Amino acid sequence: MINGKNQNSKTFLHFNKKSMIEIQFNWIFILIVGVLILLFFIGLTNWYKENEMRENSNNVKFMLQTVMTGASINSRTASPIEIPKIEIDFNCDPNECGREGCSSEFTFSKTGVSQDTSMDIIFSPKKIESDFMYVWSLDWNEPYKVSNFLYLSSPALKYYLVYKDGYPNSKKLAEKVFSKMSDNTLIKMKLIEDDEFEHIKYNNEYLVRLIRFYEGPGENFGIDASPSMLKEKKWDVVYITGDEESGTIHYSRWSLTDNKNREKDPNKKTDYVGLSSLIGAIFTEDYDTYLCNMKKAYTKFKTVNEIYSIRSEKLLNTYIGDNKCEFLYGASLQTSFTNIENSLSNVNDIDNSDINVLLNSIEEIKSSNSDTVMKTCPRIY
Amino acid sequence: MKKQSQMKIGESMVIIIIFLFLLVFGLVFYVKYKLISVESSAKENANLIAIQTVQKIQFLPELQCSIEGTINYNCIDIYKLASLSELSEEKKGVYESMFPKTKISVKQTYPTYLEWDVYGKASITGNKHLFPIPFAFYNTTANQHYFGYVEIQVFI
Repeated sequence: MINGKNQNSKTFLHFNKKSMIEIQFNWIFILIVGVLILLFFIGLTNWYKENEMRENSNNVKFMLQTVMTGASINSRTASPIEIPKIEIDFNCDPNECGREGCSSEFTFSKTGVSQDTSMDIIFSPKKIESDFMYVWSLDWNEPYKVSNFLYLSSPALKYYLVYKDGYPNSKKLAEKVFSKMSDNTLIKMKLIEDDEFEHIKYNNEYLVRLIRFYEGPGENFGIDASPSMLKEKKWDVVYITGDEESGTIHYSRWSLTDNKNREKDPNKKTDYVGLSSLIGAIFTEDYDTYLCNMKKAYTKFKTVNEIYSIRSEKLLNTYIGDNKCEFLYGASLQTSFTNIENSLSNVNDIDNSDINVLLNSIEEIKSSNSDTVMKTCPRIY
Repeated sequence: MKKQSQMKIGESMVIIIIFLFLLVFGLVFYVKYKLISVESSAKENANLIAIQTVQKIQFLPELQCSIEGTINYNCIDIYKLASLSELSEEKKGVYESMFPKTKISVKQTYPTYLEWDVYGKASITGNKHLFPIPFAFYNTTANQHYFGYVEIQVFI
């Protein structure tokens, strides 16, 4: 009997141990399977989220393409476009320019979706992350229409056009630019005199751009901005001198001696030709981007110039022997076209003397065109 | 007891298998639906690109009739057209990214038939979308208008 009892308790203990192990294994099994299922669903959610972001970016990309095409066709129109708040980066490399344009694109960061813009001349900040994008375009006529320039901005940007009394052309040019930019009623912009600097307030903009239409003493300066604006360095300065036909643009950098102020960057100086290209410098916060887009513009200029040159030769051939019109399309006009071609022969190396030759040739063609009107001959452009 | 526990494990396994089966079925269904949706978007986008190309050509200042920058819409200057056709390949490079995989030819139908091959490489392949767009043609020396169309072939 005693043996029977011992045997029973042994069996009971044996069964108890077995069931305890079984339960433990059961729970471990449930845990492992549960974690696997959870990981699977987390992975699925992430994959779906990335896919949706990519799809969203693609849709915005096509929408932007459509709007940009429309804007490039109809100049002088400004339109706000509602976009999802995805960061859009604009890149243009001035060192990678050739006969087909420049290495240039806009990218939706985090998704990698991008659109090539090799020959699209787009003046924009380096990045836009906003609910709205403002798109505006102007013709670039030198003297014939070469291309449309596209300008992009957002509600997070503000522009101050600053002139100084006593500097020749400063107020006149500032007012001319302000008047032109006022066609675009969407952008935040103000025309101020030099003394009004201290009244500039910062309202949490992405960037405040000061466009100084003069150069002279006191070029290195700071503005009486709020500590947060100074701390976050959310402002910059561009110096512009000249007139509406041509002039110089000088980008700035943070002062090497004093981190609060800005000064001219000696390596970031270039020329502009025409008001449209001057306005391009106002919309472009980065010197390289501006230079890159102007190279695209000059590349297009070469092509359009050749078309008008060939056209003038054909007109000359048509009017050979005609005393009234023949000389209007003659050697002098062809020289002007050739001079333009030569001054733009290497878009990667256009200097001040090339710009002067270009401007003189443009004036000569304008004058020849006026002569054709006077003589009631077919116009040059 | 052994049989009972074995049955219980078997039960759990079957539940998991059925669950996974339903999950896989759901995923396959979703992927197929997404593929169809993506194909349809791709077709739509291809059409959009073609239309954008056509719009750019329609409003190309190198072809349009213009007087000192003022454009005369839906009109082609014949002298500009002839000049563009004779442009060197190097200068035509600017149109590579503007008009990818595109052939542009212009045909004058009245008063006489004339044809110009303006742009495009012979070796382009892809699905062809054809867009004929009527235009007025202006001869600046004769001061006369003619009629014809621009034939745009976009290969997507």
